[in-house]
Amino acid sequence: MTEREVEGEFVVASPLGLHARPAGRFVSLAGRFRSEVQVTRDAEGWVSGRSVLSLLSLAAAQGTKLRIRAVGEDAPAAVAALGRLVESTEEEASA
Amino acid sequence: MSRRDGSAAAVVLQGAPASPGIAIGHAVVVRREMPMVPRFEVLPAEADSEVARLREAVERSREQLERIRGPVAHVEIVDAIFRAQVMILEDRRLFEDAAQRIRHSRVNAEWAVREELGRLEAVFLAMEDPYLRERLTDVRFAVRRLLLNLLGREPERLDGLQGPSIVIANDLSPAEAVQLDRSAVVGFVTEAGGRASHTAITAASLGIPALVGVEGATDAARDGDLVIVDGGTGRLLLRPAALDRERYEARARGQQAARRSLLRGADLPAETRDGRRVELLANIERSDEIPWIRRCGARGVGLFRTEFLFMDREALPDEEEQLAHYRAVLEGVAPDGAVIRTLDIGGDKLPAGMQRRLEANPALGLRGVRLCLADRGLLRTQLRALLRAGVHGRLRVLLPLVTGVEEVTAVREEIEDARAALEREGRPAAAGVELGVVVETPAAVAVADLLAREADFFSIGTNDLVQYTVAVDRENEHVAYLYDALHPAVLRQIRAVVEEGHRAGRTVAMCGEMAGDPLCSLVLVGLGLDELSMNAAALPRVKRIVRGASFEEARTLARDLLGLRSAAEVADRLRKEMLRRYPQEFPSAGDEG
Repeated sequence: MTEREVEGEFVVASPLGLHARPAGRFVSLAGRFRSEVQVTRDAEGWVSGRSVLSLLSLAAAQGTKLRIRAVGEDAPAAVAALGRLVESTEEEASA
Repeated sequence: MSRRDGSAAAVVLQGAPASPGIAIGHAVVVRREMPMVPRFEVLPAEADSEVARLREAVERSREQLERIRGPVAHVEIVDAIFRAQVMILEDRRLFEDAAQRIRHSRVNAEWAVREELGRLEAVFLAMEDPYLRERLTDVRFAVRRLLLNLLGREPERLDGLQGPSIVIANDLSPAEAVQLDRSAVVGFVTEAGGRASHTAITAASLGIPALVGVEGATDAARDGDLVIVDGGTGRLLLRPAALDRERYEARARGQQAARRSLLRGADLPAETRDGRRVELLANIERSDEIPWIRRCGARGVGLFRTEFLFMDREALPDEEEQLAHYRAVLEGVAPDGAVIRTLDIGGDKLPAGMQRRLEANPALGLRGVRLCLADRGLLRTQLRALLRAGVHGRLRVLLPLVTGVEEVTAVREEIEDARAALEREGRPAAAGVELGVVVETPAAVAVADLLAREADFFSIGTNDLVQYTVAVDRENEHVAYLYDALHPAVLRQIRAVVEEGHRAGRTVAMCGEMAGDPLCSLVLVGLGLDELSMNAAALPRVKRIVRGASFEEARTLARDLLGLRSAAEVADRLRKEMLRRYPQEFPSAGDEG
């Protein structure tokens, strides 16, 4: 198994920001990958992508740039999938 | 304003409307505070057991939320709110940081959690975005529950209220809102929260008039005061003058009339213009839902999920307890009948007291009827309770996740054995209980002709059938777009099951989400389904759709859709057809973004 490290930058698209429900979805999605996932905002300290409270504490409102880093064999897929989630505006229509 | 004498003056407070409607009732004032927690020293030798105590409290809190979530899990947004609460509880940062505090600062779990909350509060309160700041409320609700469990206190429930009551609270969690006794509570008001608060969203989905952000409400209101909630303007009227009261009573009557028109036609038979009858039934989890499903026009219960009886408890429900529940359903719904599904749980979600098995792929694992056949004691207890309850009404028994005839035969033998045993014991047991299968696997579809000889009826479970047919886990973001009940593969399977069922003279029902989707109602009638069982709230609309067309039109529509090549084509054509035929039933569908 090759350890890989991948990083990507994404912009929070939801008008309500990365609030509890999307953060929850982020955590469950991150949990599907073997890679360790971390997230940061403006490179101030990385937090775990598997902690909903840590993600919320980033206070990522709409337009916030987030860097997602994954380390592990499925790192590229993890970053791509989580990035898509951050950049999606789905669900908010119903919320 | 004097509050000591009995005739305090009328007061009007302004808040934000959270859920529309007018409610008039008597105030029940409730205060919810973060509990005071003691601090004591935990020696290093005791740290492990203190962390274990924290873990147990997290688990207990999680189970409580799961249990409360059960009956409302079908409302997507409420379900999401509860899942977010569970995630906060399970959050590794909260847990690990609190555990670390226990070890390093030598403090008890309550204190450690309280300190963690303080840190989180500082983080959230510093946020600029008001919406994100509001999420602190969710954290507080979750942590409060955790603290109460750590302290060995039961999180409060508002029980034993005499209606019509209006709950006026400084704050109310979504969990408490869901647990309000709907027969007594006609509205609620909170001091905290904005429109975006999860309590507000929950209130709206429950259909209870509610206000949030009404400052000073718990100080101004006294228990027993007559109060009016105006969910349209956000006004709370305390001890209103007679004139105001009469005005609002008149408006409330007008709204009731409007609500009745929503239920318009609920008591008419569900038949097409040319007389093809389709029975519309309701899916329920508790017998106290029966009055509501009746008002919606359900002709019985098409699916009683028994999982609710089994989840989140120390010991499994025994025969007598199960009997009481099943009997309440059958007696409540009489003279109509009820379809009761045997326990439908899987390896990933088992009640306490059952051995948990680690499975790499629970969706393909030991669940549904397989689990019951693997744990015969569980199955026998449930069958005995069902047979005894069956004496009190029209009972049909439904087996989940059947893949072949041997499963039906095995359960039928168990039923015969149970009946013989009950007879020997001199207990009355129902004879000739119909036994049906949930058709929710492609295997069951493929052998539907064989199953039709063994089973007395079919009920198509579309949620799992779609998942297994298109090989998609709908929770998986990568492939969720492929999950579509309108996939030609699914439509063909429904047609095949109906054909094989009818060839053998069996009733063919549907109990998945698709059955309650008004967009699909006409197609399902056209495909020949005899019964549709759904969330009761969807029933009046589905009934109006069934009554608005002929069977021949429905069949033509089904035939047309079966000729299309993809889910997208089917969805497109279906939407156009339904909008054209029923513009009044799909008023906003045209301008959805």
